[in-house]
Amino acid sequence: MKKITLAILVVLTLVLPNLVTVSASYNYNDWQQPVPSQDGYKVKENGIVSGSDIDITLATDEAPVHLSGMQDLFVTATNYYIVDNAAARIAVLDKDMNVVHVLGEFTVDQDGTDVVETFVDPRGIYVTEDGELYVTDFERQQILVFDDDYRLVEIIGKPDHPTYGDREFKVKKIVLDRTKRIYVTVGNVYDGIVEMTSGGEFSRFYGVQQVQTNPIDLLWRRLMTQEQLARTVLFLPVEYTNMAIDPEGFIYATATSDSQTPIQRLNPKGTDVLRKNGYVAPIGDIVRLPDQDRSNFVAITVNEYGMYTAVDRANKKLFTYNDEGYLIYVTGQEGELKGNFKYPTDAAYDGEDLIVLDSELNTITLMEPTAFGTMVNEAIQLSYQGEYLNITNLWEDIIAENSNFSYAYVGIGNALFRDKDYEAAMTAYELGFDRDGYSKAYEQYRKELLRDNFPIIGFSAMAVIGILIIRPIVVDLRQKGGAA
Amino acid sequence: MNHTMKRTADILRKYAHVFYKEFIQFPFYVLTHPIDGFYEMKRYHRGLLKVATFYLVIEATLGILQYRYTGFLFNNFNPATFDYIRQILVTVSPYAAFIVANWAITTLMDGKGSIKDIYNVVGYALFLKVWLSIANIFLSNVFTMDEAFFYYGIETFGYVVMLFLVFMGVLTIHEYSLSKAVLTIILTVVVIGVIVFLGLLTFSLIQQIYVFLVTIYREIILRL
Repeated sequence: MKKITLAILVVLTLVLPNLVTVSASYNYNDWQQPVPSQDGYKVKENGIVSGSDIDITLATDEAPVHLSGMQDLFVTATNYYIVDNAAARIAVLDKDMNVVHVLGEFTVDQDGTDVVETFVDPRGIYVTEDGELYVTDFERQQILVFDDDYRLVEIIGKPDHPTYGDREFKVKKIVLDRTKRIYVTVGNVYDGIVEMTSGGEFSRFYGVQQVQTNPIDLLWRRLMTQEQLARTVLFLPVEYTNMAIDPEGFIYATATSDSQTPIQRLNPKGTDVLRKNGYVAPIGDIVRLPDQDRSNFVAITVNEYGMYTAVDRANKKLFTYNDEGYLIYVTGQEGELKGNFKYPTDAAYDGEDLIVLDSELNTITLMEPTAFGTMVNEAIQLSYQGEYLNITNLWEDIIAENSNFSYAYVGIGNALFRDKDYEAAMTAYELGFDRDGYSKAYEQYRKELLRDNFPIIGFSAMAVIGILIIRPIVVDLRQKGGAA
Repeated sequence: MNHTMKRTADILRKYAHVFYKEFIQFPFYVLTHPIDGFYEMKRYHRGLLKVATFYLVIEATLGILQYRYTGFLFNNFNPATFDYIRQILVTVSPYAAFIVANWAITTLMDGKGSIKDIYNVVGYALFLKVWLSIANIFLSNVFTMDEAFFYYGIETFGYVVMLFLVFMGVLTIHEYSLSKAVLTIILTVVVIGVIVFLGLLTFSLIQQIYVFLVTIYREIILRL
């Protein structure tokens, strides 16, 4: 008997973890409280690729070299480009994770002679639609431009411009817009993102992060002497950490955890136009455990329908928001299990899939939407394209899957509102805690109500006014009649 | 039959008249003529404890009414954490603390008002605020976000008038000069702070003693 029980237990322990998917995911409700939610992304089958399995040995190397310090990832239609700053190389992989090309050495023309040089500390990469590679090198203080045959075309060095001054050009991350204007984040430059023309000329600083101060610090500074002030740390605006560009040409920028706006969506003027209609502001974790740090975003990626995922290095999580600023998914946590992270460095969308780099685990994690995530993504995509009306059923399915996902009610409300069923839209918006939507629907409903009942309202108003006018006259007449 | 109906109607009319006179008319007179109103309240005993209590009770239950009936747009109560008893305590305690603290300070500073007078002042000062808040509960179901300004405006106006009336009341019933009234109000706030501090101290001490006794009890039970 004992043996049978033991056997059953062993079988159960083997089978159960595969049967029961333990969902640790959560979301925030309208009262800023965490509520359980479903996972939006799961690790693909064989979706964890170790960097030590990717051979990036160059012809000139004697010993084999593998990926070891993955820093930045760029996804094109056919390739993954991974920047390794430990090996100082760039690996070009196809979608099956086979190495297509390794970029580590390039010939530089020095006074008419060709010299072979290498990267020193590459940090970021951007690949244009016609296959040009823009690589930033932190130590070389250069942006290196390669053509689609990986030949060096151009080197963009420190800007020679009075506004930029003689600061170092420690370039970190790079993004190009459609007209090939260059946007780079530079270490120890606090004026914003450096914008350059397509020719590599400095044009301006782009985007602003507010200087963070608090009243107590300010009071202390008031009381300090000049000598003391000279020795204290300067109040500096927070630095941008990473960027991504969406198809409309808006730049999504992340900043360190000190920022009040750690995620910004910058318009061509450089002002933050990120929509924040969600239950909580897009700043990562709202409720934190006593020893938990504020979310520290180090990377961001945006897909073609305005959904963006930011990588939180402090808590090792991925926060996915939609174009309206609603928190949609929280993915991963700290750990070494499948789908967890230790030191995430970058994430990028590949269509619906999400690819995450982790430099401590030295892994590339390929994630795909879960069944729930597929439905939500589809609904959000269709909403983004303005097809509110046809997706009511989809939102209802989502609620059936996860009743804590209040945003689905907002979707239903949007559909009903456009269908001019204002009263039902109000109910849906109320369930979705969308006060703006409710207000809009109610305004229309109230207008309809007034219009439909105008005869009654108008008649009663006239009656009241009439009585107010006639009554004194009647009273007056009666008094006169009595006197007479 | 007809006779009893007539008598009931008469009684009802009488009550309605009293209600109007004492609960509406005189508080309104105090609102529009604060100095005269509060003076008459004290000098000719026109202030009634039941009226002050009535408005304080409404004010105390207002939080529950707001939670229950405020329109969705302006309703920020979280039903998961809302607690009727706590809501009442949270609303009443500032008034209670003010009455006690003001009485404690003014007895030491030659104030002429009794604790009953202070209680009446607070109760009558709530008159406008209470009715505006009740009106706001209805209006919150009619307003959209565009009209939110009016909603919050009405609410703020109610509070400002209440504070003004309390100040005028303190000034009048204690027969203070303006500067002395300001001083007592500031001291009252300080005393409220002291009361809160002592309250917290007492509670935490009681809690510690309680835990101590429970521990002893458990030890004894385990050893028996």
